[in-house]
Amino acid sequence: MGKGANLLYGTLDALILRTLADGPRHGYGIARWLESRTDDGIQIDESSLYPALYRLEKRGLLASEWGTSESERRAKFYRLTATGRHALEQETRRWERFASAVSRVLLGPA
Amino acid sequence: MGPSVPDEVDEELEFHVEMRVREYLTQGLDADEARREALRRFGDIEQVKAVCRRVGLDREEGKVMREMFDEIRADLRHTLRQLRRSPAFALAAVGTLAVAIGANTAVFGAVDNVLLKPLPYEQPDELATIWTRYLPESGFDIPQFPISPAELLDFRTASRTTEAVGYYQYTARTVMGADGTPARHRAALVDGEFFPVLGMEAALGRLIGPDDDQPGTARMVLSHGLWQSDFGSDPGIVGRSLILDGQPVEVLGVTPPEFAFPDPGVRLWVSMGLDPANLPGRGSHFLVGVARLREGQTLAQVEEEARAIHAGWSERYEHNVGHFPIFISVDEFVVGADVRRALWLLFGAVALVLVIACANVASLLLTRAEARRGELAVRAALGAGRARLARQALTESLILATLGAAVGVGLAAVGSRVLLSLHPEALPRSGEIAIGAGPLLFTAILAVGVSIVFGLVVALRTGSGSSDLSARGLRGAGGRSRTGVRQALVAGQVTLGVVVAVGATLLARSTVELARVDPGVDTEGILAVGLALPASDYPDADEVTAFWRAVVERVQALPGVRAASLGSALAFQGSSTSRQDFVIEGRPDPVSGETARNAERITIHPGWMELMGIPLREGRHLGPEDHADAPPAAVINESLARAYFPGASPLGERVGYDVGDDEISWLTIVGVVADVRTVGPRDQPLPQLYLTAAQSPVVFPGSAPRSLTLALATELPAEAVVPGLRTAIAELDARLPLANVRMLDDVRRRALAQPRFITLLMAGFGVVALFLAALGVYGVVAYSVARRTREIGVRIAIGAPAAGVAALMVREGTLPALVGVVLGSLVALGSVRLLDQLLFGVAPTDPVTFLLVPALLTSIALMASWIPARRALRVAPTEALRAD
Repeated sequence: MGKGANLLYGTLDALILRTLADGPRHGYGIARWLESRTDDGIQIDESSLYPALYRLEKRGLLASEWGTSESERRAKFYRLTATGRHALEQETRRWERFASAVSRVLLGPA
Repeated sequence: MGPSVPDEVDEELEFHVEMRVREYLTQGLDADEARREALRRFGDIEQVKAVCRRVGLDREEGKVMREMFDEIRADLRHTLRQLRRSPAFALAAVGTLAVAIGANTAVFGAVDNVLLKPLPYEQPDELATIWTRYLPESGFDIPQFPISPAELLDFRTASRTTEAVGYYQYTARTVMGADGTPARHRAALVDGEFFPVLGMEAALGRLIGPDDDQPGTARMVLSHGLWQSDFGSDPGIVGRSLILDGQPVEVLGVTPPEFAFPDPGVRLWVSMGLDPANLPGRGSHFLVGVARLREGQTLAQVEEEARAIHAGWSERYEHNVGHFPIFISVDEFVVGADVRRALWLLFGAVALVLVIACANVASLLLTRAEARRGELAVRAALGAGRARLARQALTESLILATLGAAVGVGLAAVGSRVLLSLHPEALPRSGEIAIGAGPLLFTAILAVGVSIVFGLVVALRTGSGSSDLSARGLRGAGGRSRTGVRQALVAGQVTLGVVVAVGATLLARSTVELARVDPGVDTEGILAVGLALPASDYPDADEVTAFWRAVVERVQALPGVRAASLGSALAFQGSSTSRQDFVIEGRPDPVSGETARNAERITIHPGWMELMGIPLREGRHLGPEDHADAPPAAVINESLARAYFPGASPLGERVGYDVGDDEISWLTIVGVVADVRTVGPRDQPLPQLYLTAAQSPVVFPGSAPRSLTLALATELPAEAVVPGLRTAIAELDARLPLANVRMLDDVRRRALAQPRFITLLMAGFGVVALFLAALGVYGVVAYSVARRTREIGVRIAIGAPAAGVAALMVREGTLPALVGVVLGSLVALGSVRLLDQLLFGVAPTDPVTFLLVPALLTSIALMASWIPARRALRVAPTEALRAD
């Protein structure tokens, strides 16, 4: 792992899924979206982004298609499959439960 | 095909880097810096590319797999549609395979259960049964006969190679059932070591042990089946006393369900209570020993020891030396070498049937492939690769084989059950036979193997010629290589067919001969029933004799009864297996070194011989004049006369029995009768001596013939006579049960059941094989000739005479068949030895069979060439040229 927050493996997957919930993007687009959403708080480790995308596609959560980018260049676009959408819901719920549990410990009464 | 995965990965990542570079450019970095920064963000871009490539390629493979599955599914649907369109072919192929695979499964099931599964006793390979072998010098050549108690106990005391020895004796006992009705059952008298030797645990209560075998008190054990059927599986049976032959006997327990020793018909085991101080004479052979060998001892070693011990006896006693103890492993005793051999042979026959069936289906498939060459060529032209076509062929074969196997297993299950219910005694351990996991696995393997073979055959042939549309030229429908393969197929099928057909014919004839065996008695219209008088109700010999006389009188008076009589031994029933030594007046008693005289003693009521249709050879039959006060008279059979009175008439000679206290009871021989087979049809008749029931207590003081079989001759069917019979006997003694009411004809048929059953099966499979072979031969030859229709047309068109062309076709069609016939006959001649043990009344090299079968198959091949040739000739040449 390189720079960027010490993300738990798997959280990257969830972030990617969320990124694509609004529509298909290419890999670069995903990276930029996440950076802008988190005010550069999370810097995506590019060496793990693409492997994650490929793995997600292999698992059937994403589908890919070659298309043309905004800059008139050929790019590979990824989109959520139905399975992917379902997985996103599950991951989100799991994260909420995890986060609230940790919050209760860290931020709760002594 | 499109860009490869690695190329795409490169392009995708390159795009990302480019975009980053643009970002940095807008931020003010120069081109080189921008690029460096962008690449640095990636870390090791080559490694990323590598990972992505790997995952990407994986996914591609997955896609390929999925596509292949889709193709296979399409193939399946296509094949099923094709099969539905040609139902005749499908039925023929599936049917043939079903019969062959089903037969194999059923037989394998039997082989597995009867031969391969271990017996339910503790370490069964250490168990052996003990019998006596009589050598020809004893006067009789009997390979297996019971042993006498004296000899057995002597062996037990002296033996060091055995751990424990027990014994048993066959008998029958009347049990008063739970509801008060008497029932007579086959029983075994056993000693205290019997169950411990076999190492069985009781299912309920306990089994007879050493302390239970005391003279005077009897104990008994019930079979699981009897406990269920007659006592409603009542657990309270243990400790209860049942009335056995009029005496109360305590029930110790119940045997486990799989226990069936000495045979499945035995339903009671009763302690014998033999008093070692008071044994019957050494010549009285009626026990069978059961021994457990010491660890490491072989059967041969035990036999050696037994023979040495026996040799010692011959020195001490005057007893004969013409025999010695033999040991038969329990495994062989239960299953038997005969059955073992027969089953393996059956397995071989059935395997041959499978091969023939496969050959048939293979040619069916090939025929179809040839017929569809047009269609296949089109598909090939449209882009279906050879691999795809081959896979389709394989799919078709797999479906056919699977269907065939599924139907076959069903056939096997049903068939086995039906066959065994008809002849439950036909196979040992038949209660244990079911279609289990073993045979099913076997079938599955068979099906897969068969389908692979077919698929390959068809695939290879399809692949080689189908894509070549232009090759369907004037080379004629059968190119040189194709004809060669077809001819080899024909020759092969005919060879197999001949071999199996020869075997089948021999066996079929054996079956016929077996049915014609003369039992020595005329069994038609004779009803038999066993009666046993309990000693408690009939303590005196006089009462016994009076009862028998009364029974015969009453039964003879019944309507429809022509004659009635009593006897102690019945044809085909394995007699009361007691032989006794006797002496002949005027001849010195046999000393050691000489064989003693031994015969089966049969007690009869006057009229028995005439009733049974036993012909008189010399002198007279026993009659009412041989009553208790008359001089004891005996009638002997031919075997006895031949053995002991060769060349001279035995009439007037006297024979005697040692009845203890140095006293000899003498009988005068008054007649000689023909032999009666009391054992199976293949065994030698035993020497027999008959005396009347009235005189039996005189000759053997203190004994009385309490157990006899009543036989009556009637034209009426059993159901019409039996009720009257029951009433008549009930009037004399209401508590006396009728045991084993049967028609002698049925008995005879049952005795022949086992050898006949197996022979019949073999013959049946042989017939099926012959039929399949004939079918195959016909099909292949006819088709090969039909394919040459165009060639025929051409030949006619260019002027060849019709007769000559026809002759050519017939010749070329029959030639491979002839080769097969010759080959098959040779192979059959060579291997017929294998059937030796199963044949009866027919020589293995029977000339009739060896002429008939080849002739039959050759004529079929001739017919198969002639008919299509004629049909082809009648077609106009222009039609013929257009054909295909």
